[in-house]
Amino acid sequence: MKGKRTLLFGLGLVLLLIVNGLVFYHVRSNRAANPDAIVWLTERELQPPYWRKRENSGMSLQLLWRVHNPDSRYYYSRYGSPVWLDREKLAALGFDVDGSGEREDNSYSRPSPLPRDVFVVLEAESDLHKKDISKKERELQKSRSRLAAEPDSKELEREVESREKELAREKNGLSRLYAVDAGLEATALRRQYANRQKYIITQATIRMRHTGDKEVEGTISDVLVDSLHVPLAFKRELESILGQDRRDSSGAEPPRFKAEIAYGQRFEPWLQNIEEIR
Amino acid sequence: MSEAISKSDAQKRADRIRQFNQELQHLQHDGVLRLSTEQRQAVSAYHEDLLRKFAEVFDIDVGHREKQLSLGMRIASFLGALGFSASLFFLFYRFWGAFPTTIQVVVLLGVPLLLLTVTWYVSRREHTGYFSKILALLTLAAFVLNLVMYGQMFNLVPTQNAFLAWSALAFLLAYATGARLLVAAGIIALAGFLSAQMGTWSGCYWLHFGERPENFFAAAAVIFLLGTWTQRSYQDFLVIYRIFGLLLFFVPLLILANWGRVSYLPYSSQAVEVLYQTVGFLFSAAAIFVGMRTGWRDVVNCGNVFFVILLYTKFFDWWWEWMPKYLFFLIIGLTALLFLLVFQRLRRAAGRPDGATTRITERASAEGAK
Repeated sequence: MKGKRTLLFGLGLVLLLIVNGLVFYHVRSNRAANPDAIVWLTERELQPPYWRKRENSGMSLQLLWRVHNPDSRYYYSRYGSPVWLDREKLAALGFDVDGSGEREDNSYSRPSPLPRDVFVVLEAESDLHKKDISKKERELQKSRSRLAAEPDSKELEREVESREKELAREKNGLSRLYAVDAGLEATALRRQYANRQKYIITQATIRMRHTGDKEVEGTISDVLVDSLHVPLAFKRELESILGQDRRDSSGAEPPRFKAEIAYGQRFEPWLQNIEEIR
Repeated sequence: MSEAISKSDAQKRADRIRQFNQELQHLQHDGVLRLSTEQRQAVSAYHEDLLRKFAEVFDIDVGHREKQLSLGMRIASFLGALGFSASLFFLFYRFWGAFPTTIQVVVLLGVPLLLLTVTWYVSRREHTGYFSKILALLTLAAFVLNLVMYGQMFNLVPTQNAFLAWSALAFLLAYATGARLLVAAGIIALAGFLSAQMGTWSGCYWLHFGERPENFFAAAAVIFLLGTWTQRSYQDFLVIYRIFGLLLFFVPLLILANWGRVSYLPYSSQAVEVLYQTVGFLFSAAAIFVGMRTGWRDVVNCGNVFFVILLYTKFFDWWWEWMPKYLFFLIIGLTALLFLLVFQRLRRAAGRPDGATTRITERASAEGAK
């Protein structure tokens, strides 16, 4: 009995070592060769924690990405459907857009297909940001015109104020990292988006839902790694930058730091450098 | 004394010896049985010797009071294990940010290795197993922390394979220390892995496997089958496999029987619900039948519970809206009476020598005789 027990503990030991070895191998193979992408992102795209958690001394930066859709009803358009994620793209990503397996019920009681994991392309300092600024400027202009027609309206006055803040946030604070494409093959995407300083290829999940009879809509549910650990060496530096606390609560202040992020051969990121923006 | 006997078997035997002695006293008092002094001494010496050996090897509870104290110790051991595991998590989270990556890795790998070694050492020296079980659970907690933290530190894409690794260690530690809690942990992790794997085979990202209850069926079958294998020294574990296997089958089935729209099947929600309700009734009845044939009380009880739940949810669907409430509850009461009558008949059948249900008693006796 004792021998059998020792054998089981021995197997446990081997298991612990093998699993740890596999993780190290995975990390090493991700970071060993030349990174797949190296991009500089700012505080606009890498959000530090709002407050320091007393029970967690670690630090991570949240990757803020977004999608562009001029018709989206969402103010911050991560949750909207990107223009490029149309019926054809969803079909190419493996979704059954024709609903061949659909239920005999009406479309609304049909469940949405489950999210699929794919590769998405994130574009840093995207030109799409300029389009979103123009959109906000047009909205502000519209509100101002309406206020000019009804100068006594307090509601319109507040609306103009709110639009001005939104525009300021869009110009200075919001992320300029846009999801611009998706595919099942990372290498094919890299061929298409060859600039490794501008385009990140990473894993994400995409969800499709039926919006009506034969109509479908796709959204990016999650980027699978959207939280970047800050190692101790950079943590102290980042804390000293963040300690200056130049930001107000409006989110329209310019970013305080920029960070160099590398994405490895397995499309997993790590922090390479942090610099203060003066 | 057989080497293969488990602590639980030894405890059952000790309980029966105590009951036998009590009954023997009554029989002697009523003059039904008279043992000669030699016979009494022989039985007594045999039992004392047996109990002494059991106490030496397994540290079982020989008396009623010891048994009560043991229950208290088991509860304390369980709470201790949970407390230490939570403490380990929070301790690491509280201070890990102050260390460079190398130190973090050394701690994350070193702690489970150290705890595993200590668990092995302690398990060789104590008979009760209380401390080694606490340490074993703590080892598993350290291994969970190990992989979770690697995921955070190295920004890794989450994978269901972690569940397989946790499940493997949980099972190894469970069989090494006899900890039932770890068997349950191993089963849950294995079910998570298998169900996630089913989800990925159907094309979805693994973290969403829970959105289609059918993903759990394969895991349920595997885990139930593990509970039907003979594991000589681990009879206690079999019940846990069977109960978890049945829960993993019947709970998703209950969901599908009421919300057919979450099914993979390409039929209308109503058709899916009717299908799973039928399957539910058939399988719960089959569980009762199989449980009675094989003497697995746990399977009989699970079958009973889910048969009743399925029946009452159907009653609710059919009658709650239009039926006066007094009538609805009257039907519930009458159904309960019907069940009572059925069980009474089964119980009587169990009393007959050729009754199928006698197998439950026979099996219990057979297990005890080891």
